[in-house]
Formats: sequence, C-alpha cells, structure tokens
Amino acid sequence: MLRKFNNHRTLKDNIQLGGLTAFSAGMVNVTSLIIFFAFTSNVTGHYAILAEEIAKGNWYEAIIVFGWIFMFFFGNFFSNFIVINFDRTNRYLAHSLPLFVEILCLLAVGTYGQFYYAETLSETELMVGLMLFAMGIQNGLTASISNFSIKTTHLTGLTTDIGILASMFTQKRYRQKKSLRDKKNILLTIAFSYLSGGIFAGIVYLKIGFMVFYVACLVIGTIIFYEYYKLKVTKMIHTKRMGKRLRAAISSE
Amino acid sequence: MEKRTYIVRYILFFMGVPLLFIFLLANSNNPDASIIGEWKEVEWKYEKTPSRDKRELTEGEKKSITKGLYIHEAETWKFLPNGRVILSKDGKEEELGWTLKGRGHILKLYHLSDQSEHYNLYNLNENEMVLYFHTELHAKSIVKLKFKKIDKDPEYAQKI
Repeated sequence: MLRKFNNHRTLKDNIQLGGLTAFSAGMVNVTSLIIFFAFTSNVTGHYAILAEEIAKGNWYEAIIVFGWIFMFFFGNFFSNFIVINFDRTNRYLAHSLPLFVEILCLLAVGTYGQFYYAETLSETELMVGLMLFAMGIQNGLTASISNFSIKTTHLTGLTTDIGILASMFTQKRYRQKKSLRDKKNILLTIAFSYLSGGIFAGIVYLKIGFMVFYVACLVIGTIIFYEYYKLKVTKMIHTKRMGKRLRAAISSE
Repeated sequence: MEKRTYIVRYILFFMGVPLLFIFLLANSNNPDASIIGEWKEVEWKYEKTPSRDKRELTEGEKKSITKGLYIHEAETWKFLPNGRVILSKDGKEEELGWTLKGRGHILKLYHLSDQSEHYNLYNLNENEMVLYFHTELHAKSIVKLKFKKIDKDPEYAQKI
C-alpha cells in the first residue's frame, strides 16, 4: 500500500489504500459534523461558505473558514513535502510519516474532546482546524503516492469520475478497457468505504463519543503496520532466497 | 540564487498567512462576545411553505414541523458571559446554558434535563439576531426567529 510509488502501484495496492483511508475519512467527517457542525474532510463547501460569509460581511466567520481552508492546504503541502524529500532515502518512512502525524492529530482531538472539551467556540474552531489538517495530510499522501488516482476525501471529483465512467461504459470499446474497469473498481471502493465509515462513526459515536477518533487512528495504524509487516516478510523471504543461492553456489564449487 | 528566492518566498508565505490570520481575527467581532446582552424576540415565522400556492401552514403541519422542538415565542433571551442564558416570558424565567458551534453559526441551548436545542445563527449584529431552527447544514431551516437587542439603548428597547 505505502511502499510503491506512482506507476509501480498495482490495482490491489490502490484499492487497499483507498478503501482504508476513505473509511477513516468518512468516520472523521461524520463525527465532526455531529459534534462540531462542520465538515472536515472536504473543502468545497468551505469555499462556498467563505464566499457567503464575505458577502454577508461576517468577517469573523469568514476568517475562521479561511483558516480552515489554509489548514487543509497545509496538510496537503506537508505530506507531499515529506514524500518528495524523503522518498529516495527511505520510501516506507517517507510514506508512513505523514500518516503518523495524522494519527497524532486525531489522537489529540479524541483525547482533548473526551477529557477536556468544554464546548466553547474557540475549542471547536481549533479542533476542526486540526482535523482539516489531518485530512489534508491524508488526501495529499494518497493522491501523491498513487499518481493522483486516489483522493479519499474528494468525493465531488470521485462522483464526477463515476458519472463519466458510467456513461463511457454504455459503449463496448470502453467496457473492454481494463484500465477503465480498474478505475471503476477503485472509485466504487472509495465511495463505499467512505459511506461505510460515516455510517459506522454515526452509530458508534452515540456509544463511545470522542473515542471514535481512536478507532479512526486504529484504521490508519493498520495501514502503517500492515506495510511494516509486509516489508519485514519480503525482506525475510529475500534473505532466505539469497542464502539458498549462496549455499547452492558454494556446494557446486 | 533562484532556489534561495523560492525558500524566502515560502517562508514569507507560511509566516505571513498565520500572522495575517491572527491579526484579522484579533480585529473582528467574535460572535461569542456579540451575542452577550438581552434580546427581545420580535418575529417567529415559517420561512418556507410546502407549495408555492399555499402560503399558510395548517395547524397539523405546524405541529409536525415543531414536533419534539421547544417553542419560544415572544420571549426575551438574556445571554450572560458565563455561558448561561435566561429566557423570560410573562414574568416566568428559565435558565439554560448556551454555546456556539461550527464557525460560530450554530447556537446550542442546553436544558437542565440534558436536552438541547440547535439553531442556525443566520445573522448577528449590534441590533439584530436572526435564528433558524436547525434542521440540516446546507439548507435554510423552516422556522425563523428574529430578535432585537434591548439592553443597548433603553429608548430603542421601548420602541420595539
């Protein structure tokens, strides 16, 4: 999921990464909507709100929304900055570090919300900003390492792509193209996962409150540790093979 | 040389935007502060009717819309800085808790019974506050409550 970059990625890699990250994005977005009355995984609506607040002359609200959009932008900047600067030294670290930071942000929101949140406006604004930063990190990372084929929090673009693909599939020549069929599978997986994450969080929040964010962290943690495990296993297999070859070479001599 | 120029630009951008943000925020009216004071409810009306030809709602429709909601008509709401709000009508008073959520566009009122009410804070300025029953985020809700501030100018308060 995390080790491969751009065109070396398989359909399975993209589906796994897209599915898991979209599930966590759906969770975070729905939970923030329930608790804070603000979207945190998408910014299209925030641009519209920013324009509306400016038009109404509500400068305080406009500045806050601008700050949120900036946090999402900064999250995207941060994750891609890490990827392009550290990809050559340690690819796994370069791809997993942004996810670690995302986990830290969500853990901070979950812990603060569970134990200290007094429901004031400034707390709400800060926590929404932190979540937008976390979702920016995630969106930037998935888009960056998948050659822009996965955007787990960008459902406007995703729905557009599904609509376009659905119309293309009315013709046989497009239906027969494997690349388009693969794209359809990725998009549908992301849409389904995002929705499932949202529904799951909506139900679970009523029982465990802010601890929903811990579950989102677990989902993201799964990506990191699964990749770490795979890396170890691949390394072990590689070492065994090399050992066998070396032993065979020695015995033949 | 070109690289250095870019680095300087980035540093200026990432320092400048937060500084500008803090500066603007410090010089704008926080809704948390603007809402403090006494407000007289002057209007309570259904903003949207089911069809274009039908401007009035039946009693049944009104009941269905307001089912499970607290109805506040012709009340005075006094918002205190300590997060409490006193609702008064005909000499009767009720004390609730209040907080703003989202970007300051959702007003939440808490009852002692742990129940809460949510309103879309559509407009808030020195003299007027407009609330909508909060139903969902993108569409304007159906019931509009309009308040006038009364503790600012006693003459203005008497007028309304």
